[in-house]
Amino acid sequence: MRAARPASPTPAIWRTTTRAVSRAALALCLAAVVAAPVAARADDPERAADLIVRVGRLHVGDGTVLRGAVIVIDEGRFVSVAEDGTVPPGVPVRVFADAVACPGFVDAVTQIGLDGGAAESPEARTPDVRAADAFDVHHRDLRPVLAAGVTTIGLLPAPSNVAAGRAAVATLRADGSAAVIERVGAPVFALRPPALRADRVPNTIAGARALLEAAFEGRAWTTSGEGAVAVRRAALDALAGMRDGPALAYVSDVEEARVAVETLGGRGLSPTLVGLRAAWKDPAAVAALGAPCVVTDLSLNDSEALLSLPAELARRGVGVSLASGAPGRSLRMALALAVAHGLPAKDAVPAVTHRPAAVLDVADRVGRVAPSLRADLLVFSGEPWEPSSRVLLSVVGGEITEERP
Amino acid sequence: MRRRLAALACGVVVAALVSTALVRADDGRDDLVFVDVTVLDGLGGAPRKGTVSVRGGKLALATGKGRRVGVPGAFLAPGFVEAAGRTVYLRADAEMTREMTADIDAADLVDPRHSDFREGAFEGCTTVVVPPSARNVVGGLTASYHAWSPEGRAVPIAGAPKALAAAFGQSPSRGNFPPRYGATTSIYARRPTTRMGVVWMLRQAFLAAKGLQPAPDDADLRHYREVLEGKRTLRFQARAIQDLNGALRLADEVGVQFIAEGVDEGYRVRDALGARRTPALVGPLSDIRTGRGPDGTDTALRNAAMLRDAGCVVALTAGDSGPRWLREQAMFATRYGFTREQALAAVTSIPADLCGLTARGRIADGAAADVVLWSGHPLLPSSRMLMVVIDGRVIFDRTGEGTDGGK
Repeated sequence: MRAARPASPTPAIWRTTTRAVSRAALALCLAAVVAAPVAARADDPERAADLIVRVGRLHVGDGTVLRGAVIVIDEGRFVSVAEDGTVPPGVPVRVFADAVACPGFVDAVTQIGLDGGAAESPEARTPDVRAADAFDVHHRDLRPVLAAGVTTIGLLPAPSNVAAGRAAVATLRADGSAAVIERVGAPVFALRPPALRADRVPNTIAGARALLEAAFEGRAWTTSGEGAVAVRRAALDALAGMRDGPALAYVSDVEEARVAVETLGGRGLSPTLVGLRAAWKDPAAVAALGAPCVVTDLSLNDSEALLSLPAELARRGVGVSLASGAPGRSLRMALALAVAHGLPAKDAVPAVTHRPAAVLDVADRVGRVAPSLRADLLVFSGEPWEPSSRVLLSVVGGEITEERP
Repeated sequence: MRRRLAALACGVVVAALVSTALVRADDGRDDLVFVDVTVLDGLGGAPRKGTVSVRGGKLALATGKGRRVGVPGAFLAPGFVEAAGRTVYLRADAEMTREMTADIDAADLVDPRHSDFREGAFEGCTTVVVPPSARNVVGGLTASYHAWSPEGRAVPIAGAPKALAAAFGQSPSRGNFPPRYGATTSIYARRPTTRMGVVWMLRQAFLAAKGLQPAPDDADLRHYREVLEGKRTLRFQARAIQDLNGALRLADEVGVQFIAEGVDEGYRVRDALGARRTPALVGPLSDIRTGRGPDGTDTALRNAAMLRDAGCVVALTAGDSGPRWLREQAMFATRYGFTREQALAAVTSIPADLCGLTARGRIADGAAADVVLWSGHPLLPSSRMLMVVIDGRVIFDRTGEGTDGGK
């Protein structure tokens, strides 16, 4: 909100004084309300909030829905959220009485801004490369993503190597640039083509398992042919050092998912399955693996069975996220398609907000409308998953990027 | 007090009954009684009329409780056991980036939802054992499956032993070339490039496992050691005479027993194979018109019968044709030296025994409930499948159509 203000021609001293006075007045008003849902700064009653929004309904992001929610934002963060909150008279509030709000979308699987490729593919084991090192924080593709409501992106190395590298997480700014908030994120693995390929170890899922299990023990599992690419000690050391924590595993088929969970889970890592575009064959078997799932690339051209996969997984208790995956895909369209094919409303918003944030291990920073989290908020004229819903207000890091009363 | 005790006892009985019912429901298995069917035991015995019941996934040669299945003129036979199902892979069929992959488990190469499993089950094949393909000198370990389930996939057989599968002949060397330019450019840039290279690599591996020469690279030798200690079965796919002779020589050199697979020219070395009582998984009998087989072999229609007569234990396989063609292989055998009962045993109890699945492939008290009801003798082309039961669960049921196909 501050950055959105036009530069004032008035002298700085006058501006400061006016601001102080108006803040004091606001503070008095706030103090008069006992429930104080908008008591923006309990620690600093002299200071009022940057932005207060009242909406008809709020999807918090974790599956709960608040009616008549009053959301207070200050210094780029949510300060308070209250159901049926009252706002004291005189406090400037943006009211969207019939509108539906949700957190800014989190797209967990992208390669946005990774120009020049996201796969260091001469080797199968590149656990030590980092997607963040290739990320252009001013990339031209960020602005359209922001315009589509995505405020946090996961940057993953491409699925071209069995041990692909480290993910990164970036949040978008109101000006269309991005800031990396997690530079060395979860390790990313790929147990599907093109990581399984004909000119390099391995060419099978079984080989990928053997290679990873050997590497976790610090062994090379090399080709024995002369001239085989030497395996870097650093790569083996990086893999041998992985003993716990989250991991992301690109898989397509159910069997690849099984091997990913057995191999990475067997090591003590907590894998999230990413992709799963051939897993529609047996959602029950995927659910039985007990791993969170990110279904990627859903589009209008996909089969009914694939579009129903998020619903089938959610029905069996799997924490499902959606991600755009491929460039040019719309996360909101993926959400619309998944809901149209049975994804329950209670799982819909979490699938594009809190759950992907948890997958990226940044759920304490983004993905919900909750105090102290980054203030990324979308207000729609209807449900976020309805293609007909229009964006009425978009707040990114506490700043308004779009407002259509 | 007495009344209370009685009530308690009643409660216990009811609870026990309820829990039994729940266990059976969870189990998902069916109770069936095949009434007055012609029973083929799969062990070579003559057909006989009888009643066979299925309960809790086991067979009993007596009547029992459950759904009664009686179709006039029907035959009940054990489900076929495909000992070398080589078509049901998900993607690549071998980890070809190495030549010796003893630590590769076929379970991670198989697609349990592969349609060939289902089609095999439809043609009476209830068990499929899958080796890694013969593109590697040592492909890895076999995996055994119930061919299909109501969940729409093949199910791994718990506790089934895993054989180490290796290959002689041209399959592991075909297309390979020496690595060039200091970098691997293809999975074919590898050893071996010739037939002799295949034997040479196998010999090195076993000698390394015995500690008689250094181990190549970081190869994991424990599976070879288990073979040498007699704790793991070894399979050699060998088709041509020189490969069979090579397998015999190597086995003698390093001191191992093996099951021969393929064995297309086995008739030419049948005395040597028979003298060792070498088990043979014979087939598939491919081109019966020209007599030309894979690996440049000259096939003989009576090959399986000649091997059996020489003393080999002979099972039949449809190999890379797919499990649904196993029935046809047994039919061929009845033309060339096998009785129907012998041919049936060669696709049921014998391959089951060779794969260490000793309770399968037969109709006997306590055997696994993998049975198929046929409208006539299963090895007659006119017979149709009426019901397939795998692991005590009905997979296909066409008994409503009767033996005449509902006409």
